[in-house]
Amino acid sequence: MKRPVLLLGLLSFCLLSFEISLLRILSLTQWYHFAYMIISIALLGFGLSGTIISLFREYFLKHISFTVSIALVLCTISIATSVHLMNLFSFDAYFILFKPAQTWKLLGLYLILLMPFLFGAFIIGLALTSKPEQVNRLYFANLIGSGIGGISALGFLTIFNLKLIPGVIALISTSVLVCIDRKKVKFIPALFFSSLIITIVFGLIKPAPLKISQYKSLSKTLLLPQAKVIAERSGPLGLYTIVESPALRYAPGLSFSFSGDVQTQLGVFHDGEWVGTISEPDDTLRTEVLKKSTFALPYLFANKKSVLILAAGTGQDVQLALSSGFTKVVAVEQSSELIHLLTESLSTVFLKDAFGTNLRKNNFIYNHPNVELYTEDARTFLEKEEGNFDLIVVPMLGGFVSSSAGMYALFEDYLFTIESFTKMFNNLSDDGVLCINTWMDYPPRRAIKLLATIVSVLRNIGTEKPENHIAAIRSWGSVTVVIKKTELNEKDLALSKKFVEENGFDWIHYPKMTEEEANIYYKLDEPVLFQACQEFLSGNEDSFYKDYIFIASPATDNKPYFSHFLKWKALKKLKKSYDTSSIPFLEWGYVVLLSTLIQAFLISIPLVVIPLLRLKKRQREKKDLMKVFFYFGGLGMGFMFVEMLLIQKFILILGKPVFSVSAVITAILVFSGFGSLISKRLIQKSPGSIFLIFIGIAILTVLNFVNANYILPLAAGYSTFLRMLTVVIFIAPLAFLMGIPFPAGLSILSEQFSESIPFAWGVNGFASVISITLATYIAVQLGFAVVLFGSLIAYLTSGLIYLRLK
Amino acid sequence: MSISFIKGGFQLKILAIFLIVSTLISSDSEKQTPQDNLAQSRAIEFRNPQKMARQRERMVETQIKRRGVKNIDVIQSMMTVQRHLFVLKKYIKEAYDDHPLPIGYGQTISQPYIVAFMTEIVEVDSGSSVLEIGTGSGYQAAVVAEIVDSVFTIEIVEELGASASKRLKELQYNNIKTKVADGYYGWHEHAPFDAIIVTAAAEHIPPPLIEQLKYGGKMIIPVGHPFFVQNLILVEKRKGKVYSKNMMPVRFVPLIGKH
Repeated sequence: MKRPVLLLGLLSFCLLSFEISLLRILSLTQWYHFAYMIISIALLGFGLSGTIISLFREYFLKHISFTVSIALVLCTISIATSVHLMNLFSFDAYFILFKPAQTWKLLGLYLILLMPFLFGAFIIGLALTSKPEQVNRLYFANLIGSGIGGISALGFLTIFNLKLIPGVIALISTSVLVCIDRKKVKFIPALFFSSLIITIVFGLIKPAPLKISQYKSLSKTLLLPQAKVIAERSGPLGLYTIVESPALRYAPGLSFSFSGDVQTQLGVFHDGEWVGTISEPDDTLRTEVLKKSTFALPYLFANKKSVLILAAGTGQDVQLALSSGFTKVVAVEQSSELIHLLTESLSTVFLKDAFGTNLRKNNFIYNHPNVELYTEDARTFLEKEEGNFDLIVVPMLGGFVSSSAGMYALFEDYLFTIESFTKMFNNLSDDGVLCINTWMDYPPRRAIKLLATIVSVLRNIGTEKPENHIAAIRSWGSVTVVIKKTELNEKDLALSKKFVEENGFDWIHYPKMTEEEANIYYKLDEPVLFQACQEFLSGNEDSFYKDYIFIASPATDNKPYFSHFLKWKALKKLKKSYDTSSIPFLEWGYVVLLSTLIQAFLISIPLVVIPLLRLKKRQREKKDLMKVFFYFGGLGMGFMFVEMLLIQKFILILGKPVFSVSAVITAILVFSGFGSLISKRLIQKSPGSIFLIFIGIAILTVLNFVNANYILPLAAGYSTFLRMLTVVIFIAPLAFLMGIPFPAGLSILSEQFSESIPFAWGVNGFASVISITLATYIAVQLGFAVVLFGSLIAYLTSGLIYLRLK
Repeated sequence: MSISFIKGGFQLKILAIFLIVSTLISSDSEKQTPQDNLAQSRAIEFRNPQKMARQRERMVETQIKRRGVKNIDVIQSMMTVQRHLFVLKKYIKEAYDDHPLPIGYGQTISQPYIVAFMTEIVEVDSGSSVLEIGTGSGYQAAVVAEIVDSVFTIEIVEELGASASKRLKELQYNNIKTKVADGYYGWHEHAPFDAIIVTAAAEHIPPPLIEQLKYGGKMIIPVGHPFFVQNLILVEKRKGKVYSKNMMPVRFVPLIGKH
């Protein structure tokens, strides 16, 4: 290798940007949680590379230039052709439960996507092994390259068509061949040109089509008569699509008593899944449909001055608010892509299209003069707002099927937490109304947790008789809960009762309601929603949480998983009702997370053990190898736990997860890189100080965790850029220290036990992948505070081992 | 140098051949027409009718009766209709298994038990006229057609509708009328219906369908995922009002209690 630092930097750049692009590709063609699983397993390639180098270390070191150039070409080709090869397996994520043949297809997918990471990590691991004296510089290149790769991936996703991105990345990785000494590997030009040709042909000229699963709502909608995509917008947050078809109608939770016509509408999709339909303020027919749905309830009695609509989406509630006579409608929607589509792109489409006769630019809901639009995350908006709204609305989010199948189980949802609802209350006028909508699911889960959260919040803020503030109704498809800051008066109740009766909805709760009134038009086996609400209101929530078959206790900022309902203890009971293959459909996210964790363990254990077995005879080395295992395993775990913790904590400040992910990952990687660079000097000058570094990491991690809660309100008012800058400055010292232990450990190994370097690299790789999944699992089960504790344990353990490593 | 170039070219050729072959393999998979499948499955049926009948019998015993379906007509119909003629060729072996199967176009043929449950719950007899929204493979229509006089079934996806129509004709279900159209409007010419079976999960129930349901008639709608019906909604029209009821396809354990 002529220029190992450049080589590693570029390669790391390619690997991280490929990983992020792959996540987008798989989230679009399959689903986010499957994407997560497939990529996690593929990343085990990092660990596997360590095992392979351990086994054939001498051979590889002898032919290093040759090995590296071949691995580089294979890495490039596997990136360029990854989607082509993936398309060979028409993998049906859902069908895997019934059909074992799908398991083979899944294994095939794993293998295909493992290749780029395996070959890439192999080169990095080999470089660290071959030049141990340069470990700090090489690791620096690895971290900085990855950091820049992460942020550049977002750029790629904005500039290029998604299907071209693997080709673009492969092109960069081809160029890495320049770093190989031509004198040592004579056929470099041949390798270069063949890999270039393959990249250009399969990556750029004929890129593989992105086949969206036939079970996604976009695929199904496009099968409707005369369905066509009329506008599209792609970006780091995903692909938004607008579809037109004369058979596309949408009216969730519509009353059975509605006898009019449900008009055809334009449908909006995000990554192939349903978002909503496009609304227009002047569409009176549409307004009639909306007024016959449960979510029209608060508009009956709230004061009609100002309304705040959080997560406004395609604007259904904005339309309802305008038609109900609100003069100031504040809408908050986080997706700038969606907003752009709804306010700009569509107008040009319609000017060209004959369909535009009844839709003109000024008529788009968000262009209405009474609407104030904020492109921001709803919770972040609440943090900085000190409003005085007559009504605050949270619409139904996501699609019916996807929300009932638990797609969102593992999304951190900071909008549906106790803290968030409290903020909403604080933003209401004296007699303001809060309205939260959700889908009805079976057996009931969402609505029950929602009621639990609302009652808790009312108690927390000192409401004397919460039962007199709540009115909750349901249709067969939707649930609407309305909470008034003052007690509901006779007039409010009279209007609501008339509305419920006319539309054939059912009551869940109103002041002084009896059980006989609970289960009339849409009959459930037992009036469980009414009963749950009664239990919460009479202070028996703890025994209800314990006894209910699903998790019913409210989500908090420490455990922001509103959509996670599966209880371990209740699994046996659920199995009596459903067969085992059906249970994942109750909560896919959780099941996939768990299966990723199990798979990662099962794959990692033998691969870690194999190099250990080779050294069986030499007892002393075996003991040392255990130290290496715990030291580098602990570092992998600590690093990933801290990273995950910071990403989650800073979502609240930065709004969109994508901002948080890119700010945190880039900051951590880049500043760790600088930490790595000084590590060598530090060891030489004051070897004793390294242990202090571990203590420093622990202290700064706690400080960051705590500070995230305090700097939050301070930073909330500033622009996104300034907020990101604040976050980066906060993270920098911690990240700097986090970059030191890994190269420091390798330096010691290079002096005393250099053949174990690939093992250390592999263990670190496995531990990193497993830790990301494990951290999520711990957060879901026990909360972020426990993840914090885990990260401290990991770093301090490594620190103690460091003292004995010397 | 020249040798190394040849080497490079050789690698390239192998890769190119591999990719072309694999593209060919991949393009074959989902593109078979349902008609070919039917022909194929009939050939299999011809070869081994007894085996399929035995599988059907086992399906009715273990999946349908044991879960509590009692209606004799429904049981008889499930025993008669040759489910394996309604599935894709590659799934024939699994035709009588206890789960849904893909039929292409993002649709599935429902789990046998769900088909039986829905047929039983709408309480039809020989004189009934039934509307089905979402023909799919045509299996649900065939099961109902074994019991009632006339079945009207509408499919919105043209390819599915055409192949189901052809299949039902070949199997001589003369009391089933099919059409490819938007199910939202129902089938006005043949309304009102004693029962309406909606097989496509929907987030609202089209007002025209409620209108075309007879007073005292029943409509059933599945809720959930293509691979997993979580819940069924039974809609009834009585005395000018519409009532609905939650019909869990499974006997559910008590929701509240010690777990």
